Amino acid sequence: MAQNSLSNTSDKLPSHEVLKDVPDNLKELIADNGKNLKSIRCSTCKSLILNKDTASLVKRETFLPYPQQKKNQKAEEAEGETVNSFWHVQDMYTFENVGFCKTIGTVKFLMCADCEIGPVGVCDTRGPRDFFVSTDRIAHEN
Amino acid sequence: MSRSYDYLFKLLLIGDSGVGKTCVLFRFSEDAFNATFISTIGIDFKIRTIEIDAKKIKLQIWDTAGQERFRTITTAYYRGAMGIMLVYDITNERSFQNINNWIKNIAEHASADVEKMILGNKCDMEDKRKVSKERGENLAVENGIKFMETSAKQSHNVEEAFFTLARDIKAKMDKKLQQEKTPDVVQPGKDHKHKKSKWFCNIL
Ligand SMILES: Nc1nc2c(ncn2[C@@H]2O[C@H](COP(=O)(O)OP(=O)(O)OP(=O)(O)O)[C@@H](O)[C@H]2O)c(=O)[nH]1
Ligand SMILES: [Mg+2]
Repeated sequence: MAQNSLSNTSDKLPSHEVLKDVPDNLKELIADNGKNLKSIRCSTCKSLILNKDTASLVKRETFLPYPQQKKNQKAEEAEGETVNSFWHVQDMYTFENVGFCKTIGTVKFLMCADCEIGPVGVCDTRGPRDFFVSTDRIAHEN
Repeated sequence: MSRSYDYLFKLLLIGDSGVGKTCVLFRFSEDAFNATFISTIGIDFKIRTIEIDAKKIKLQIWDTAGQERFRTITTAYYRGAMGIMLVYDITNERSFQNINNWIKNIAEHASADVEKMILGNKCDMEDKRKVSKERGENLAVENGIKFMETSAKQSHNVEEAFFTLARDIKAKMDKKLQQEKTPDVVQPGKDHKHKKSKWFCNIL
């Protein structure tokens, strides 16, 4: 369901943990070491975002705005959805190609560096350097 | 964890308002009926990976805030920048004149060995041209830096410009590393290639 939680962010940094109950659609994409078996690409233009074997699957409850918004919608009031599974990297230079939005609240959303579709992920400016790419918003293909 | 790249360069785009800096770095989004979330918030920077001489180079490329003028851009802004694209608009004489002011500003505030390049943007607008290509070339020669005309609108020369700037930074860095290797030179304490990402602290 569409909802909005960009304007009512809590003071606490969202936590993340290893995703244990891996959904069926992700089982074949994850290696024994917990890393991605396939490259992570933009689902629209196939631009390479992360190489294979660079990111770990984690669970993190996160609000992501939808890529398309109503015209003249304020960013803080953007509609979106809460998603749970992410590919996690800890060094921003692990990314092959990625764009960072301006900060809203405490977060920076990630986008495709080529077609600029997004958000495909998020990072929190308060926390340690953790970067999260939504498994739902990218393509897994080499 | 081992590093998956050989070089990391921070690049900035600088120039008068309206010359097309944002368009050089980002795509045109001209859909009048739909708004994307990304275009509403705006983009801060991009990371791009390129390959030169079989070396993997990460580029971190920053746009600059629109209303900034050379008078207000100071040292904090240039921190860590290894390459600067100086952009003017070939249909705007004043933006060309101001390149000299931007160069002065860089000399005052940026690291002395920052690599520069001049871009004459909007070269698709030949009918409105005010600044000849030759004047652009001459200005670049006077300052001992490279020059290209670009069109962000037609993606003409944009990728080439970033490659050229990156190649020049790499050449400069390789030369420096070569000098550091000679035994009678004291090793500097800082190793640029292993610098931790600290962009959260120097957000503009
Ligand atoms: N024809 C043509 N128009 C361009 C080109 N690049 C940018 N423009 C237009 O020039 C205008 C200004 O471009 P911006 O990229 O916003 O300029 P800017 O340098 O970022 O300006 P500030 O953010 O105010 O500093 C926009 O209307 C663009 O559509 C180009 O290569 N060709
Ligand atoms: Mg701009």
